Amino acid sequence: MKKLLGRRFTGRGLGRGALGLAAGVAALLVSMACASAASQSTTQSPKEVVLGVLMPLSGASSLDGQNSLRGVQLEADTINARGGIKSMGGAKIKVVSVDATSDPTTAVSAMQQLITNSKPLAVICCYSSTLTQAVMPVAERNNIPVISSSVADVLTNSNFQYIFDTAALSSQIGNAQIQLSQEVYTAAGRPIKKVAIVYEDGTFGSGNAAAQTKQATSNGLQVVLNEAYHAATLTDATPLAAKIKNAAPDAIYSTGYINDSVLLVRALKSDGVSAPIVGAIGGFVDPNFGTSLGAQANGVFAVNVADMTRFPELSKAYQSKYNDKLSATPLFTALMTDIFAEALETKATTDTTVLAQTMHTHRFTKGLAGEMPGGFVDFGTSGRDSAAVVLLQQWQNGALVTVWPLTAQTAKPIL
Amino acid sequence: MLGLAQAVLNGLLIGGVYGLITIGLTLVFGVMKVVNFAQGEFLMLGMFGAYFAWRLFGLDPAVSALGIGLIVGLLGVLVERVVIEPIVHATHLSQIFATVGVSLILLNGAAVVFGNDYYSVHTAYQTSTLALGELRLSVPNLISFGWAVIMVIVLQVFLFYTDVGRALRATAQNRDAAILMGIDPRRMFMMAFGIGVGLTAVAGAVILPYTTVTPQSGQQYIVIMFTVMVLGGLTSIRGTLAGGLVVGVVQSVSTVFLPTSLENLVVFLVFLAALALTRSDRTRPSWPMRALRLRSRAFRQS
Repeated sequence: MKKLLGRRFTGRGLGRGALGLAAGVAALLVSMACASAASQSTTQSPKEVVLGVLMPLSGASSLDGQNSLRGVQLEADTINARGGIKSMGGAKIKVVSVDATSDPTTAVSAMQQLITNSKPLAVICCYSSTLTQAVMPVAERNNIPVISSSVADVLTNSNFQYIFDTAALSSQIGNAQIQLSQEVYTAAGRPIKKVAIVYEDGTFGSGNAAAQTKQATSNGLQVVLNEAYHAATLTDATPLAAKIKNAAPDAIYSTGYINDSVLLVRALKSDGVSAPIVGAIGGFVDPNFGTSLGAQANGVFAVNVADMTRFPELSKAYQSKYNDKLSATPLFTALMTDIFAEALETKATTDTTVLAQTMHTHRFTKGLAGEMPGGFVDFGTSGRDSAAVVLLQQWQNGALVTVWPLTAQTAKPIL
Repeated sequence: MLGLAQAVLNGLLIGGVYGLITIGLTLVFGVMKVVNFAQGEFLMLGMFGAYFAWRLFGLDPAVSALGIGLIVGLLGVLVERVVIEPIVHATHLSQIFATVGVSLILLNGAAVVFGNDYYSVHTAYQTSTLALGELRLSVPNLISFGWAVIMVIVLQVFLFYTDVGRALRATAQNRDAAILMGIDPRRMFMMAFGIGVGLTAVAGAVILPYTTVTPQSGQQYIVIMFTVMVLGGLTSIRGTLAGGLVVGVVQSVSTVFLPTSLENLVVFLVFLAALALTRSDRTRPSWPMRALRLRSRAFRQS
């Protein structure tokens, strides 16, 4: 045994060595316990909590990406100025933004980069349904809650556990486009019978169009044209307008982004098409639609997910900070920031899984969530806000006003 | 039948626009043998220039177009001196990297300066149409088409009837021979690039009334530009206008029979067919002609 252990490990030195070893182990255990207690107290009261923002800051969707980021920054600054997350010792919200670009493949690596480098507690993403759908698997693998306002049904129909979507379903929006406008025209004694459905061929447009077609057919309307176009390469809408004119619809339902929507409305007006146009969020409700078309925008309908006139304080703050009009895009990201803060106030945590659990079970009523048309935001188990509503609005004198349903009406529809 | 006739007419008008925006690209490639991937961004700058001329001075884009073209052309001369001249004799890869770099700088620079909003002018004739029997002509498109024709004529006169124009053509045909004739190729390159991007900026100003402008706008047109340039024979100005008309008509007519989302697919199919069937080298017959000659030779020998 002596030969195996060597001269050091003889009986004589063993007593003193064993004592030293035991003392060392005890010291190590104590310091580990202290460190654990200290880290537990710092994880519950960190100096800051990281809120990731993954938005298309370049490419075709850059305007909406930029406006989305603005909504988060504005609301995060407001919350921090009020004292931060009080349940976490006044931790400030730190907004970390990464450019998703307008390409889904790049968005995936951008999400990975954001998660790896900044370890966010949650991520607000990605405006476009196509981008949000692309990055969700990355978020799921890393257990990071994603708070979104992308409308595509597939986002909350795919068993994602970590998506929290504040917008109405694409199918809900598509249904409302047909239903609400039909109600308006029936009430005016000019029922709609034939409809043309035109849309951008991405996830956003196609999803909406499918819902519109289903609702139109179910309401007994005749779909005289169902036409997709590619928004990114649409340089001339004249052929599309000619097709619509030849189909002679009573109303035109369109889903697209800013440039293509402007081109389409201009081409329809040029061609003397007088049938009402009903757009769906996206380009049709953006302030740029109104400023680009000027008087030609007047009379165009659009379904929207919020009424900006109900948020005068936020509108004022946004205008003052960015010299720009508040639209649905930054309103919703400001709402998402409020939701993030309220979730942490409800249950302080630095664990993303615990945060996700809170977001599934809690009914959000504070701040902007309480001012939404439904009065609250509730994601439930599906991850989709059950209180999301769709309003029919109309461009009148360069501004969007709510014309239907009557309970939310701020101006009469001009037919 | 009327629908088809209207589609052809619409296609010719928009085709004129495509030709107009591409003429500058053709001139740059013809003289310098450099493919300018930033051409779309100079189009975008022309559109922005026209927008601000309208907003600040109330000038209609059709009126401010030439002035905008001149300003952007001078910017083009600066870009040529700093970026393009050092790589004129470099490999194609270096040239691609350089012009793509210019494209990124201009696009993102515009986003920093102007933001990402969409801007548009409001003119009295924006949604006006003229009647031609039962057919309708869009007035903004007609104006753009008119500009396209004028620009082609002016450029042809410049290239064929002025000393400078002849010097440019000589440099395009044979750089070394042009040097031997006392032509300074550096001056020719500066001029070609400046005029080339200036022409595209004029086009940008002229098309603004019927569309919007944002820093990304150039990227929307760049694929069309290259398609039209190649269809037009790469170096021919008249060919570029013809190529534009072909693309416009194919795009417009295809939407009569097929979904709108396939309009560019048809354009590219026609483009591929044209590449396969037309001669790129006048001394060498196209492959169908070669195949025919081989067959008839074999037949005679048998």
